[in-house]
Amino acid sequence: MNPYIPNTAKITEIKDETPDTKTFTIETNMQFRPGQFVELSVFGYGEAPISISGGDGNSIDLTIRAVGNVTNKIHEMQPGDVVGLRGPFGNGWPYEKAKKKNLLIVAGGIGLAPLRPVVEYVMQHRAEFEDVTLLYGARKPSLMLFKYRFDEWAKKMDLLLTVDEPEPGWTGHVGVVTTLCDKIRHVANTITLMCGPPVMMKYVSMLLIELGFPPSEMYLSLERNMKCGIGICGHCAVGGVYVCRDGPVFPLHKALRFVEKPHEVQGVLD
Amino acid sequence: MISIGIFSLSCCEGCSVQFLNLEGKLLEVLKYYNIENFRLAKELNSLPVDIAFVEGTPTTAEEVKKLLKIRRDSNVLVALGTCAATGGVPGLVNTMSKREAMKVYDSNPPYMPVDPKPIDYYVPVEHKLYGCPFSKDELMELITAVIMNKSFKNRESSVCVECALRENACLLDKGELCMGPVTRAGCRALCPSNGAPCRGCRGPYEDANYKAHIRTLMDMGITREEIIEAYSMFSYEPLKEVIAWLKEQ
Amino acid sequence: MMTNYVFKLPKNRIYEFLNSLIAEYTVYAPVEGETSRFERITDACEVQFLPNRTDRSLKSIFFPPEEEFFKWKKEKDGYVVTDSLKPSPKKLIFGVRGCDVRALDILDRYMMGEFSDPYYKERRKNTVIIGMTCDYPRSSCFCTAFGGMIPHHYDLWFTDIGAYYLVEVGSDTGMKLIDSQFQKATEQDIKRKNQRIEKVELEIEKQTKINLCETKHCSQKIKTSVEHPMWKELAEICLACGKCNFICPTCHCFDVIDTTNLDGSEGARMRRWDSCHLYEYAKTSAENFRKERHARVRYRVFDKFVFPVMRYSTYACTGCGRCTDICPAGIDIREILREMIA
Repeated sequence: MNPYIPNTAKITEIKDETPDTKTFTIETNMQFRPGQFVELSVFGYGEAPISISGGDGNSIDLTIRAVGNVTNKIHEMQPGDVVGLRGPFGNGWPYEKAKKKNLLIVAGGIGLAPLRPVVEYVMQHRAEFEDVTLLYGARKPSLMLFKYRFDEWAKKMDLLLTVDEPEPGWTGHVGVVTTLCDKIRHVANTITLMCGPPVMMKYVSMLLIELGFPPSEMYLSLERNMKCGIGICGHCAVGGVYVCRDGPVFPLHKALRFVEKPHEVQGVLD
Repeated sequence: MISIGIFSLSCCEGCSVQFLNLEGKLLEVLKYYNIENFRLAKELNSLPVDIAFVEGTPTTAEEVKKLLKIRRDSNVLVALGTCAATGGVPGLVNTMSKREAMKVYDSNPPYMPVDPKPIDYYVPVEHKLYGCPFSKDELMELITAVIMNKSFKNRESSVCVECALRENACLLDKGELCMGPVTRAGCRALCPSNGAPCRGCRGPYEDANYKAHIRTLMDMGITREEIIEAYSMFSYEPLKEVIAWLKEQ
Repeated sequence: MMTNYVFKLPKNRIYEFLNSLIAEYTVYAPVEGETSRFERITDACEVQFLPNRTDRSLKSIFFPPEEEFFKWKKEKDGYVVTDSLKPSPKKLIFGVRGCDVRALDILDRYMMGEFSDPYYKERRKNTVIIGMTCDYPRSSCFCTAFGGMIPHHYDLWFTDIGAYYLVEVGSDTGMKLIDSQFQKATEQDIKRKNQRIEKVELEIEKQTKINLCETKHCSQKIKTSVEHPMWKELAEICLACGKCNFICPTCHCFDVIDTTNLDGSEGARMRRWDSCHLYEYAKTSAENFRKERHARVRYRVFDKFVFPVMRYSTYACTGCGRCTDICPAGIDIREILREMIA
């Protein structure tokens, strides 16, 4: 099988998330682990790495913000339109490690997309975990993803939400994600999964370490320019690892020891 | 149909000719585009247009007005070729005093001359097609991008990269004053691939390391004056500061 | 090696031998042009017997600068994708030097080891390697820093010993190429070969003055020099032209490019060599992770001497010296290494 050739697949459903983000349900029998990504082709427009935000064996969900040629074009597409998929690629979240332990999920902005399959797993297998906290920050309330799931999620886990800039109707917390960290009720025995903009991950890592979370139990997902997805083209390499193949999820203590320190952890423990 | 116009300010009109050089491809292009305005190729010309391709750069107040009008009557403005994109060869006049420059006109000096500048000095420009003349491949890329509604991006690497991809022998090795290392890619290294050193007609690119290039040339025994001339030829406007620095060395 | 696997071929029979190979294989051999390189030959008289390595490596035979992955076409109900992978003929490469054979071994690890690239694999499979000892080194050569001129894997290895080529057999495939023109080599012949190799290697060592053979130790030394002031000094003179990457026989980065016709009803996807020295190399939609030139200069050196050691226990450098020869700014990789491991 040629790993560079995409399989064609049909978009079956499109859901608006925010003004610039939509979730596309794409028909495929692809099996994936939460945290893995696919290379999405929009024919004529190119290819882009996109995290898988859900799926059931018959389809996968891709939550996509319109920022480039590929993502802008798919935002114009309709159910029934055809795209190309390669993958899944990457290692995925080690959420099994949190079984019989506490789980902390920290997400910023679009970073919630690759974490959503973990959240949904927790929803279905809540008893496997001890305390579970989902800490989610976005720039504005209107830019939050999966808002329609929040009520459900809040029933089974601590859902801590924050925004940088409030909008009318927002009654929740205001401030960057780090300002919510003292509300986490469990430190010991906790596995942390983290995904968001590089600066967010950097400051959250710093603060969590200060609060006593061990770096070896904190995992972060790095975003790089994955082009081939199979560790050959070189674009996603950082400090001797291929993010597409060895990652995108790395334990913090390893990321800190990369020869070339990733931007996401520069300054942490320095 | 997308309506387009090709307009000329002060220049050699080589870019207009290059447009016609699309030849067979031009017929393909005409399936999607309607040329409303093209003085070199048409008798009846009109405005407004969706996309205005402007070659050359204003050298008189009259031409500045013409440019402003084109901008007003177009949705997208494309700087066609180096003169429009960076000031190009007309910019050379800025290297000398006004008095000296006016000598060439003898007793017929132009009415209200202005200093040649890149056209984005006067009006916002959506796209730039560099080169003297521009590259047909890049024009096709832009035309396709417009039809398909995707973004068009200039290369942010040097002619050297494209030259090396064609596995050419390096002209700097042969002692030639090649501008490849500081010149924006996009021409597929046309000149060096045919044995002629790059003259820098596509102007500088963002990551260019001028000091390293100048050092390399000087180590080869090329004089400061020759380097100043090569840098000024197409890029005096964008490289004014580099050239001033070089003069002080 | 046992003497019954060592032969000699009278020099005047080499053309006959090569033509017999051409009848059976697609043969590549050094050809002198503006730059010397390996090209397909259809007659033995086209071969240039060069004293040392070619200007260009073998890389582009197996991994061309531009290569199409697939074509696609819009149909009524979606897209039809056609793989552009074509079957590749049986290849034989004659006159390869040790540095390039070793480079091919390294490229194999990147392209067909942990990860597999079907386009490279197709071109690379069934390739017969006939190597040759250098007569004297180029001024940029430093293969002795990595263990010398003779690689571990080859099918046949030729060494000029005067009126004959001494021919060592390195594989079963190589053994099958030995025909009646070859004679048994004598002890004396083998001694002459060894002397020859020793002489050239000594010459290389004299100009190199570095020994990287202690891989772990040397790699570790380079690894700890992340903050070395040299990176910024190099960034001052580096032109970021990418030539060292393209000429390098082990650099394998590529960019992926989509092309279409005007209305987007059909198109193709291809790859093109890319360089980690270029500004856009590590750029994502959100951030450029190697914006500073010194980080890019450093990355390339690390990606030759540190990262591959961590991953594959080998350097991704063979001491061919091509990057030193081609650098317009005159950056010499040996000087960087001397500074790092001093």
